Amino acid sequence: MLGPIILVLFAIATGIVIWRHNGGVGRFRERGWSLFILVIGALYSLAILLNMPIPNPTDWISAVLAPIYKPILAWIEEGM
Amino acid sequence: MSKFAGINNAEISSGQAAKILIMFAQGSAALILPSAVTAIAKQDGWLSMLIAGPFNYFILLVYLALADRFPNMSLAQYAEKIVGKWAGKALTFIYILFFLLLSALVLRNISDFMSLSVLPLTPEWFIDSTFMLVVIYGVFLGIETIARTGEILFGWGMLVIVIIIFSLFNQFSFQNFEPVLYEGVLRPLKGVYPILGFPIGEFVFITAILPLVRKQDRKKLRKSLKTSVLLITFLSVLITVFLVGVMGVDETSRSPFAVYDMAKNINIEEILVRVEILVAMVWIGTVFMKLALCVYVLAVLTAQMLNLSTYRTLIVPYAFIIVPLSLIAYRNVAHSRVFAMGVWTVYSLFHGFLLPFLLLMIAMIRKQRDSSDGGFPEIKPQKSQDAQQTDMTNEKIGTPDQEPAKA
Repeated sequence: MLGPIILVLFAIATGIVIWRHNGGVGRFRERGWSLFILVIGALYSLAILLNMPIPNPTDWISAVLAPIYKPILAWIEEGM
Repeated sequence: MSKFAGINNAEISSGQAAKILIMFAQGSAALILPSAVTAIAKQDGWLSMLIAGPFNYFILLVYLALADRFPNMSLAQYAEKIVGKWAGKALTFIYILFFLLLSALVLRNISDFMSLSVLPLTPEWFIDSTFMLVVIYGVFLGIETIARTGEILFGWGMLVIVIIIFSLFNQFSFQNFEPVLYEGVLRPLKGVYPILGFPIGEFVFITAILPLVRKQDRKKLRKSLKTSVLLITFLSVLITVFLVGVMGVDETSRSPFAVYDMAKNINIEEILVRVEILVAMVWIGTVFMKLALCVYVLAVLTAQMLNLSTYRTLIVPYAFIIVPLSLIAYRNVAHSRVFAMGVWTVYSLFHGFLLPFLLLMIAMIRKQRDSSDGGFPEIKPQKSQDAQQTDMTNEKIGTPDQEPAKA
């Protein structure tokens, strides 16, 4: 359980730095988008640490591109 | 030079751009690619590397043609000019996903290598996180710093390659190349397939770097990139020739990190031994370059798509996605090999060739050209509170060369 706690603390610390730094120089748009990406990343990491079922992007891409790459691979492996 | 020089709108030379390209091509590909190519093309793998050279140059020509039309803009910016604002943003988002995944895969390559060869007991998340910290710092400092680091690492990389090549001459056997072209030209042609995606399709990162090349250096850019393509091809052929010549086809195609394993064979009179760590050091350097460039381009494209004034605030948040993504991207080394050598080529060519080629065609048909500046907005030094107060007082009483404000 230590991993998720450290991760959350680190994400909060990063968020505070982003909030204060960007707010201090009037970059509110930058602050909003940075925090948005940070929250996505923190949730994603947390889901992995808590062993939640996470979709794997490489599996998605393999499934989508299967009609294209499989015939090519079959042709390449022909006679090997 | 202003306090904020180099933070956003940095400049590099054409030579630095060429070295960046070489380091990007050698990073991760040099250690992994030859075994995949040798598995397909057997002893004619070096011919596949040679055939890939012109493809390499052709893809760069597409990027250069786009850069000629939009010299001061990155892909994210001219995509909006060519296909319209929202379609351009959608296209940039596709590239953001591409570079996000590419960054995760490159990070996974290094953690696989470290955990299999150098640090078997260290958890992968720790290797990933520590490596990512250095990359974050590098990207934070900007493209000029990355380019200068590339220049240093380029020299060391060349030196190590020369040491390895000279040290392995005594174990080189020409018999490992026989019979040459035993199945005709088809086998080496098939061997080109993994090279097209890894690293040729990934060269699309250069579209975000080309507008940063110094204006007075732009004329030399084409020549520098041509030289870098020649050098990339030469190095790939040289590495493959020595792998097959020293280790043979079977061992090369089975080894996950063939160049590292080849360096283990170096033994000169029991004096020069165990130099494989030199390969590891140089490879870590080249992978650092590749990952830093991927994260830099990822952050820059995102900032340009969202009309932000700086990319730097996005780097650490992106690291929170890249590290976990690298941990789950591959189930094991075998899966990484199947994905990288089978699926990745199609995925990478879609981003690296098809989309830029379509953009170029549309720009040519519409006769679009734009030399306006696509850089980030200037960051001006903030005035201190004292200076602001003085300004306000001046506004009230009027400065010496102004009339006092009337009541």
